[in-house]
Amino acid sequence: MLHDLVLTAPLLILLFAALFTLVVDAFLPSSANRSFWGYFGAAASAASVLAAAGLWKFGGALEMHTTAFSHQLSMGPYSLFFIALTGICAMVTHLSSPKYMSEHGSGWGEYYALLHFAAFGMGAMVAAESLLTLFVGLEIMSMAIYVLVAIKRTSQASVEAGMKYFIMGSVASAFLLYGMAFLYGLSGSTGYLEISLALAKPGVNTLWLALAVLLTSAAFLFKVAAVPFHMWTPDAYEGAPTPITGLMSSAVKAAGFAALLKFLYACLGGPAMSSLHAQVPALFATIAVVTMTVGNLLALTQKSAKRTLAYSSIAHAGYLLLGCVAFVADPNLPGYQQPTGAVPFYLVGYAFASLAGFSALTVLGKGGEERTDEEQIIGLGRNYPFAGAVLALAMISLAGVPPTLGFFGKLQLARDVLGVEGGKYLPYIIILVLNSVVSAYYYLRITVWVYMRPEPKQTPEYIRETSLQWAMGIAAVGILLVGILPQRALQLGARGVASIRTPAALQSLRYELAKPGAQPVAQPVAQPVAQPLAKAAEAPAPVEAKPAAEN
Amino acid sequence: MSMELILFYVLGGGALAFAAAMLLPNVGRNPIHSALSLVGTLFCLAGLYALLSAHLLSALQIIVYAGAVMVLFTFVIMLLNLQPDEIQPVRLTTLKVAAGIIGLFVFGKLITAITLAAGGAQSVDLTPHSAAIGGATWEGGFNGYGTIREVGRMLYTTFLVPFELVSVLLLVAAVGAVVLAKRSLHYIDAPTPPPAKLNRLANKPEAAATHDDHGHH
Repeated sequence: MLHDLVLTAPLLILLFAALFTLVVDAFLPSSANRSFWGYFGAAASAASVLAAAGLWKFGGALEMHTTAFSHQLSMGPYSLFFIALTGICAMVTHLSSPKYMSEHGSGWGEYYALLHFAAFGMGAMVAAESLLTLFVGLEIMSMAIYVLVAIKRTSQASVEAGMKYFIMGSVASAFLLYGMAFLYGLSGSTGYLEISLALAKPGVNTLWLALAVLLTSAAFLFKVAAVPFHMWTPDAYEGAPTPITGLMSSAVKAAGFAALLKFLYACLGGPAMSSLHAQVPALFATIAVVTMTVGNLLALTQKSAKRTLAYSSIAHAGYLLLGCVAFVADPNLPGYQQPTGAVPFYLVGYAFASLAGFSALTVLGKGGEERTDEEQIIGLGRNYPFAGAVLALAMISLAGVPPTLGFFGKLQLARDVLGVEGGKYLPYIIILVLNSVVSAYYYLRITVWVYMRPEPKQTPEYIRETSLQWAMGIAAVGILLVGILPQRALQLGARGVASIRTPAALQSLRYELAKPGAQPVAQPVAQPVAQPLAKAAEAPAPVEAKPAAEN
Repeated sequence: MSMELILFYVLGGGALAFAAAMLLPNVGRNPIHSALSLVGTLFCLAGLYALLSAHLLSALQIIVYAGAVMVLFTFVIMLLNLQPDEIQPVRLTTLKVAAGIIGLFVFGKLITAITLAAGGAQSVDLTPHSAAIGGATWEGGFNGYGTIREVGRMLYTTFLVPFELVSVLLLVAAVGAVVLAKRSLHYIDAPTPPPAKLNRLANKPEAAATHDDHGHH
């Protein structure tokens, strides 16, 4: 039990921070200034990141195995990597919020509590090792984000955005549940590993498996804003408070992709999907190029910087989806390579760049107004040099200009995908390169607004606040640091990916792929995997069928 | 004919009859009648669950669906107070036809799957002492399967984390609902007053707003 609690410490810190905020805030006088919750939230998020880093560094030395609570959560390097990333995103969001939220009349204590809850849900869904935990974690994150999007209650745009996001997100959740039900029906289990082993047996109905893969993927594609499911994105991103938009395009996207990759790789990857290996990578690659092209073309036509970045986030979802192809590739083909850390690395780069971009746009939210068009951004470089520089840096990084993070990220993605099926996806990579050339236009257009336009007569007012400057600073340092030392982040990401508990990785331990003809449910699949705690009482060990008297 | 089989036919027939009554035009013209028919269907389903040894599910079906959810339905129906002439006749659209076809397809597939699972056996013995379904043996069988004790044991051991996470989810939903619906709209060091047209949303004047921080008790 203690072991489980220590392992899940990064998540528990976030949960307790949320509860603490809720309870203490209830006893504060309603006129009190709530800005300090931003600093408290940043500190709690930082503590969670530090706990994750500590587990990463010392977990091995303490000979801790990586799953907690009857294999419902795995806190291996992969989960820790993404918990740290979403924790940093939450920290920056906390810091950029206080002044903006109180200027917009929504700086309540619950706002900060919901931020913690959202980060907690992200951690749970990334760490999930079973469909149930995945779904509940996803819902915790989504619920908190729906409310945070709509929290500017006096703004029609914000409430409308929250409503749209909520309704469409609920439909996506229904898709996910439906797909999960099919997976459960096909495998008789909810654990990733058990499903993967059950699906690897011959005789799995391909039609139902395809349906399950499509339904679950559709739900994830909605969460990461990929093209057939991207309609909510521009409105939700524009209507949401700017700090929350930053959180959505960094942490929510990272958590969505992290959970999708783990799900594809650990639950459906490898032999489990052998009957679909011809179709699924091609499907993902096609969705990827359509997503990036649509996102970029629509971004070209936007006037508001916030909306431009919303479409740019669709485009980046496309780049990342192309990276997912490496995770669903057929491992039996000659020349197969394990996926490297390209997608986690790209997510780090994208998260820092969009955090920097949106926290710089937050300074425009003075006086409860929210406009991020050309007129407001012009002169930012002269009147508020720091915010202007951060915005320009973010745009350059998003555009993927060579010395920055965005460039290395795309390079790694391309390298990963080129290895699949002997370069079959080369045309898709060429489309990716063309897309990033197109995207440079609208990113650099924003940079031009910042620096190279004649200044308007009256200087617009900006939100000038210490914590917001910290937020911009942290995001900018993140871009520069990872841009200068990409190898380190790439190694961490690769170690994370290598630690996903796939059947192939675990075959040598305790599991063995079932022999053909064995009964599905008779397998001792519910047994612990690595370094089991002696928890025989907890494990749902198969009990002998005895003539039961109870009725 | 065993007692169980008789009960099965009574409950199954009842469920189908109530479901049909819910949709039939002469009953369905009054929404309250439809809602009551739905309650009947839910009760029959609860009985079927009990026959399948899913005791807890059966109790939950009555408490949650026939109890809580139906009260909510009835509440909404009465709140809307629809008159019979306001109810539009059902029109067939392409989407509805497509949905129907897909529904029929899934229904057919389910029938096939159930027939296959039964392995062509003449009858499937579902009494608790049997551990055999369609030739596949299920270790552990129906030993305590579906009882409250067994479900509780699973919830607090293997599925402890999802179970606890659901309570966090409910908390988030409650906090979110309160923030969006009940939080008074007073401004925390806001430099500008709220737009005039939105003033009606604020449930108290400025002076009283300080006491209204956490909604009505």
